[in-house]
Amino acid sequence: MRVVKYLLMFGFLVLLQTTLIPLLSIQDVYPDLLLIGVIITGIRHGSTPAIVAGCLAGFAQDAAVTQLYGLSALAKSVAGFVAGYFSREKVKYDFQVTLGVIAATALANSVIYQTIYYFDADINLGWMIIRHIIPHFFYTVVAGVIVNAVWPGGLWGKS
Amino acid sequence: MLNKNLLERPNLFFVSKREYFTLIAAILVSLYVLFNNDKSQIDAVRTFFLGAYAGLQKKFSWARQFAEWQRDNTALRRRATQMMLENSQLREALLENYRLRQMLDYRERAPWSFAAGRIITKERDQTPVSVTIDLGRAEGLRPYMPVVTPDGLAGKLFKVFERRSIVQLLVDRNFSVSARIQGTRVYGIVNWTEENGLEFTSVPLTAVVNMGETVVTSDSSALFPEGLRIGLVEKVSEDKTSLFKTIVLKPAVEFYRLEEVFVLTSPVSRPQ
Repeated sequence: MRVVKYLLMFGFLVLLQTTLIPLLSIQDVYPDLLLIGVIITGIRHGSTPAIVAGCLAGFAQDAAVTQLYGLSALAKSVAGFVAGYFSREKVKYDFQVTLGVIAATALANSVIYQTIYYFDADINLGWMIIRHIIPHFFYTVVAGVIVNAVWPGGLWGKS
Repeated sequence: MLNKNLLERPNLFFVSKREYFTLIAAILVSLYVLFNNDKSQIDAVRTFFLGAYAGLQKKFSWARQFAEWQRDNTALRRRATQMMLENSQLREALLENYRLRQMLDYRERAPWSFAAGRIITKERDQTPVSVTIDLGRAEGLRPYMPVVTPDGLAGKLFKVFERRSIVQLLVDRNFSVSARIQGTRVYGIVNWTEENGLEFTSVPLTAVVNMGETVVTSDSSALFPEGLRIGLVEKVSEDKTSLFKTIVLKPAVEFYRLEEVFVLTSPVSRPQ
């Protein structure tokens, strides 16, 4: 039942990511809602389900939008591990921890994805960090914070 | 109880580290799919990692090279020993050769020099027996000097004028030359016959002559240097009534295509 619930959630997020989210892009930078889904999975169920969810969601995203099939799957698998790793049960459920988990996960995802995507581009590392890695990371963190605020019970799903 | 713990231990390890195994599996699957893309980014990544791998391999190649150097060193030592033994044997052979030469009062033969001549007239027959060349006494030519081509012996100077000479070719029936089989050193005389063409005569029945062997001028020739190619053994037959074999040769020189020849101009003695 829980698997079905998550499948539905990720299906809905893929739909949003491919239809609505491009409308929110600023200079070709837009938040990654599927990554927020992976963070939710990692926070609530640990690394292993988050890695599997990240890998499958990444493949779905690659099939829908990405030019390099497998790149989102790779980035989100690592991001799922990071999300689960930094939200173990001993961690206190407060805003700073949530923000840290979102930031670490978004940073891992953004670094892997953007580095490989622009690997052959004629830009230096500094410009790639400023123009691509940080904006994607920042926009996704902002989106994660907003979702945490509006989602019932926050990303942790606990009152 | 102990056995049960031992059986469960690997399983416990796998369960406790399952997130790492899952991560490795997900990364491998993603990388496999990713590297199947035919995109320039992937080519760049592949090139980068191959370059990094090559650099690392180069840095750590000294370990492998060290083993190769040891192997090479052993092989070279063995080779050096072998060469040293061969060298000592050759030195002995050289000294022995020197002693034998002294005993036989052997004299080194002078190297042959030659003059290149162009054929200006030749008989209209399919195979001419003589040709005229554009060299003569003015170039230092004298009768009986050997005439050769890159393929072998062509003939000898018959008459020498001031600016031209007549060459008697090997295919003239009045021409004969002392010869031998190159490999088996069977001696005989080469001359031209009407029935068989070029023949290697005076070879005893007991001599072993094989098809395809090369016949060259012998060291007993007064006119020609030793070892000039004359032809190849084409046919060997034996007549019970004769003391000699009948050996037909295929000439080394194609006489009907002669255009240029070389006259060996080293001093030669007139036949007695």
